[in-house]
Amino acid sequence: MGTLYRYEIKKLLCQKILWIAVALMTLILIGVGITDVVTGRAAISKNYKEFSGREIDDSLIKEVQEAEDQDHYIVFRSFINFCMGTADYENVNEQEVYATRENNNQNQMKQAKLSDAEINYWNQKEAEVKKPFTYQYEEGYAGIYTSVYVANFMLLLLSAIGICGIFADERINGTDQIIFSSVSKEKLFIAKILAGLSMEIILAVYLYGALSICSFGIYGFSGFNAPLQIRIPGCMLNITIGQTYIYLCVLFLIAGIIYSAFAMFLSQVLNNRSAATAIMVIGLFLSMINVPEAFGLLSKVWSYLPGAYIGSWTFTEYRLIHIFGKFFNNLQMAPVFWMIASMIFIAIAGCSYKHYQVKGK
Amino acid sequence: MELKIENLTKQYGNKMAIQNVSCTLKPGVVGLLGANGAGKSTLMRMICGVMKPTSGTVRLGKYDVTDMSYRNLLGYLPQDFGYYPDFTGMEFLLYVAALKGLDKKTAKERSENLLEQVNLEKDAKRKVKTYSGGMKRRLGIAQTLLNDPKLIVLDEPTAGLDPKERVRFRHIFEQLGKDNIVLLSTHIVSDIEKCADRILVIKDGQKVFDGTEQETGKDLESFYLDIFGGEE
Repeated sequence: MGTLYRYEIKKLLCQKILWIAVALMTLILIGVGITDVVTGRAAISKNYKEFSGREIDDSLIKEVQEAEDQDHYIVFRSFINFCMGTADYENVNEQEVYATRENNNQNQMKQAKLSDAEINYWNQKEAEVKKPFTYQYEEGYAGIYTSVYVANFMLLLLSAIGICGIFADERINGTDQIIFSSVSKEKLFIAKILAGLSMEIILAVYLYGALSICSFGIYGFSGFNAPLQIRIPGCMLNITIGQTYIYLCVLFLIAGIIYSAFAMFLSQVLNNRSAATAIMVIGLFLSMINVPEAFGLLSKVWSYLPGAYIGSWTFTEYRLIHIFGKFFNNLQMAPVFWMIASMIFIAIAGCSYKHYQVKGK
Repeated sequence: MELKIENLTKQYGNKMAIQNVSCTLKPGVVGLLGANGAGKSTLMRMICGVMKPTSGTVRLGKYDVTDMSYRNLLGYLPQDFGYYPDFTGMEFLLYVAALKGLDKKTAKERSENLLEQVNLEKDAKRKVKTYSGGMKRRLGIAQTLLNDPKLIVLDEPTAGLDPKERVRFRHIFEQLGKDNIVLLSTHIVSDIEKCADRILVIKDGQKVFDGTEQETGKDLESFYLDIFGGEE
C-alpha cells in the first residue's frame, strides 16, 4: 500500500500545470499583501497600535469625534459606522453605538425569519460577549479575513487542476487495463484516495500558510485575544480573533478535503478530466452567487457550500440547524456537513470504481 | 494448466463484438489472428477480466476469471496503453509490481532481471517519456512477466518494434510458451507463423478457425487472405 501511495503522489506531483498554477497563485497572494504596503495602508494601520488595550467607550468615541487627524482613527470610525449603519458619527455616544448594534442584529434575525427559540439562542450568546469591546491591534489577522475567500477559490481551482485526472487519466492513457488486470485494485483505490486527500491538505496548508506569512509579515502577530466584534461588529459569539484564525484554518483544511473528494468523485464517475475540471470551475463561479435569505432552504443550503462559506460573513450567519432538540450554529455544522459529504463522494466513487469496466479505446 | 473459454459473448447494444467463442488452450504459443476490428482485443480483455462478458465463462485451471487467484497467474499486455511519462523504466516496473502484489525485494529482483531480458537495463533510470516506441513496447512486455504468470496475454505485442526486435521477441515468446499459455494477438501473419503452436482466427466476433498451421492446408499468408480478403 505504501509503495502504491508513493507512486500515486508522484503521479500527482508530476503535473507541470499544477506547479504553474501554484506559482501563479503564490504570486497573486504576495501581490495582495504587497498592495497594502504600496498604498501606504500598512504604514497608517501601524498607528493603531497605540490604542491596544483601550475600550471602545465614550472616552474613545469622543476622542474620535474631536480628532483633527481623522486617518489616525479610521479603524474606530469604521467600527462606529458599521454599528450605526451611517457615516454620521459626530453626535453618537457609547450607549447609542452598542444599542444600535444590537438592534441591527435583532432586525437581521427577524429578516432571516428566525423563530423565537432561535433568537433566544443568539441573545444568550450575545449576553456572553463582554462590552464595551476592548480594542487590540489585530491587523495581521484582519488581513487574513479579508483575503481568505480568495485563497479558498484558489484551493478549489488547484483541486480542479491537480486532482480531476486522478482516475480519469488512467482511462485516457489506457493504463486502467494494467490496473484492472492486477490483484490490488482495491488497494490502489485507497492509495489514490489517500494521495488525493493528502495532496489537497498540503495545498491547503501551503495557501493558508502563505496568506498568514504575508499578513503577519506586514502587520505582526498581535491581537490574538482581541474580541472578533472589533473587526466583525455583527458577530454575536464570544470568540476572539485568534480563535477565529484557528477555526478558519481548520475549516480551510476541511474545505480542501471536500474539494478533493468531489474532484476524485467527478474524475471516477465522469472518467473525463476536462469534464470534471469544468464542473469544478462552474461550481466555483456558482458559489460566488449570493442566494438571498428570501429563498429559504435553498439559501440556507447554498450558504453551506464551501466556496460560498469561507469568509468574514460566516461569523454573522444567524440561521441555525435544529437537531435532536438542540440548536447548532453554522460554525459547528459546516465542518460536519463537509466531512459527511466527503465520505459520500468517496463511497460513490468507490462503488463506481468497483464496477468499472475497461472500454475500447 | 488449461484456459477454458466457454460460449463467451460480448454484446454492445445490437452489435455482437464476440459471439459464442469456446476453446481450451494448453501451454504453448497460441496466435490469435484477425483483421482490425474483428474482436481480438475484446476477447483478450474478457480473458483478462478487465471487461465483463455478456455471457459465457473463462477459467484458468480451477480459477474463474473473477477470482483474485486468477489474476495472480495472469500477465497482460494491452494493445494501446500509455505509460507514466515521468516514471523511469525501473519505477514503472516497480509500480506495476506493487499493483500485482509483489513484495519489495522480489519486485526489485524481478524488475532488474526483466529489464535485462528486454535489453533495457542501461535505460532503467531514464524517464519513460524519453523512450522510443519500441523501447516502450519492450517495457510493456517486461511488466507482463513481472509476476511469473502462467497465462500470458499479449495484444499486438510487436507493434512498433523493428524487424530485429520482432525476431528477438518471437524467441522470447517461444521460450515462454514451453511452460505457459501464451495468447498472442496480431493482424500481421509473419508475427505468428514462425512461433505459434496453434492458431485461432476471429472474424466479425466469431471463431472461424482453430488449429495448427499445417491444418490450414496452405501457407498462413494465403489462408489469411482467403478469409479476410483486403480487410484491414
